[in-house]
Amino acid sequence: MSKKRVLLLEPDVLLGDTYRSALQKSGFVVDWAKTAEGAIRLADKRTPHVAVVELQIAQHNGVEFLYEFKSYAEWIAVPVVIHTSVSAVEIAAVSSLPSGLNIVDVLHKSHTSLDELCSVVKKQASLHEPL
Amino acid sequence: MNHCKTVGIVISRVNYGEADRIVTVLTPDYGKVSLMVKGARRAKSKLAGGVELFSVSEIVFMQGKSSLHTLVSARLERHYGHITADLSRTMYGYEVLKAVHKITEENAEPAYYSLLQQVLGALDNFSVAIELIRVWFDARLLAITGHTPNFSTDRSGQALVAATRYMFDFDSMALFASENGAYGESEIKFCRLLLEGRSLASLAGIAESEGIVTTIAPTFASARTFYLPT
Amino acid sequence: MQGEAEGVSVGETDTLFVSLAAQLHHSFMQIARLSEKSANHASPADWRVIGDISHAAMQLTESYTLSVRLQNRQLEAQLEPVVVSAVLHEAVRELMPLASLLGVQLSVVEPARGSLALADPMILKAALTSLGQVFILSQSQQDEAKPVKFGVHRSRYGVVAGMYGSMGQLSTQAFKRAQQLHQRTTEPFQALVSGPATGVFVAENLLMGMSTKLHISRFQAMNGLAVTLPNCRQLLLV
Repeated sequence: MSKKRVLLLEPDVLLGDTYRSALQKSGFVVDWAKTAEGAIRLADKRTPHVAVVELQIAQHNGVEFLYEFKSYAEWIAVPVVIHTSVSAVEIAAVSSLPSGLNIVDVLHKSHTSLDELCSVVKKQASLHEPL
Repeated sequence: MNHCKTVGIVISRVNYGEADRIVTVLTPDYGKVSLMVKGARRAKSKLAGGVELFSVSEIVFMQGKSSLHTLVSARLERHYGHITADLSRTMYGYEVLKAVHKITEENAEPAYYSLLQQVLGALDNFSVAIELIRVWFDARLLAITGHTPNFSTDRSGQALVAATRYMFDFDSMALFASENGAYGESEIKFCRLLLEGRSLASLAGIAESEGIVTTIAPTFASARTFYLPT
Repeated sequence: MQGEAEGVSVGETDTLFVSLAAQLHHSFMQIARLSEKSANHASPADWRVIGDISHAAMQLTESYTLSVRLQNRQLEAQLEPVVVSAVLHEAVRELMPLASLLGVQLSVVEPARGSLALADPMILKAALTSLGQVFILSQSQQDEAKPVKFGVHRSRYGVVAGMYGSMGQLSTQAFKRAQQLHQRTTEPFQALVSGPATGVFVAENLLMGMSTKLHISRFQAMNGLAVTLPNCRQLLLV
């Protein structure tokens, strides 16, 4: 069975490298972009099973990226895991995030171990097959 | 075929086929128009372009035979660039675009364009609290659609008394006297100003507006949910 | 000759502290996740990374502390003739570990003739180092990192020293916006970098201690942030 693919939008080099490493060890192929445009280009090449998205990125924030990402029919169903350094206070609760973007979970980086991240991504990937 | 020139605010963008996009633009004189933007998907920057979200653009389009027209040119006139520097404002901005898109499904009067322009301008201005913008938007939407709550008299038509506390009744969309009611003189005055169409800037300048907004916001949010399509 | 520190409000100090706290929080998060990844098999390279992250965080904290002491008038700027390019080289030495860690090329472009100006060398170095951290971070967040350069050149107003890179969206308008948003949002300088961009505002506060400030500058087809320092007339007579 071919490996499932994760689109990782993470601007920080050190964190991105760490997350990519952990997800690869968990059996995923990881397409890592540091910018919103880079992520769109990567998804264009191969549709991911899951998108892991940081909300604080340069030039365009993660919400802008998600609206753009979800304006493509082939990516509407891709589950999105928000994995962000934005505090829980600012986001409040999952329910306060926009609907229609298929955001399945919100993880706050400072409270989420690598194992937890991989576990959430594994669960979502098992539920979704890309078009 | 007619070439039409106007200003507009993009309220939705959807990709179409291999290379194109359909953008929905709210304009003051043509209402809501759907425009095919040829080749937009293959643009170097997929997140930029002449028709950006949170912007006012001058557009020229060619009227088609159906309801889908073709964008000929677009020039950015004003970009509300501060909005995306703040996540809450970004999220609310998208919410507003979605709400206006929904409510203008049947009819897109010029009032909606003006409303949207004012909301985006306020979101772009960090000295206007987002909570005030929310309640103002809810109030203006209710007013435009003919669901204005009554803050002039109580639900039985009696004049409101300064020293009395009131609660809001959603069935009659009016106040009734209640000892522990959230609405007092300040809240009622503020709601009247809100419904008169006072600008956000002038409302923001009212003393203790922050506390008043916290009190009245649930009323307007609930009324909007109840009466308007979501 | 001594410089006067301009007074700043307590509110502004608090804002900068919150920004610093956010930046340090990020550094700690990097260390925590790296430690997790390397828990069972840390290599010398991993320890070096942790060391470099810590070093950069300490640099920023020291610069911040210096800026607060200047604002509180516990310290005053000591202006003296300074060879600006020498200060830039020192800043590059301080920043090289971070630049290498994040895969960003860093260098100094200096004029053929000397770059003598009136400045407090300690404050200037701290300001340029803080600024440098943000520019390095900014480039590292691009899908293809381009070099960043410290540059010094002359203008009719004095000696211009700054940090430059291929940042298309860096403009006076974007910088003004960032200054306005600094007190109001967690990502005030999105055009340049994600996160709090603390180094820019620490640099600004430091330079206020020399009665000068950052401005957008263009140099060798690159955009950047720079400070203009008064020419040092004394030694020109020698």
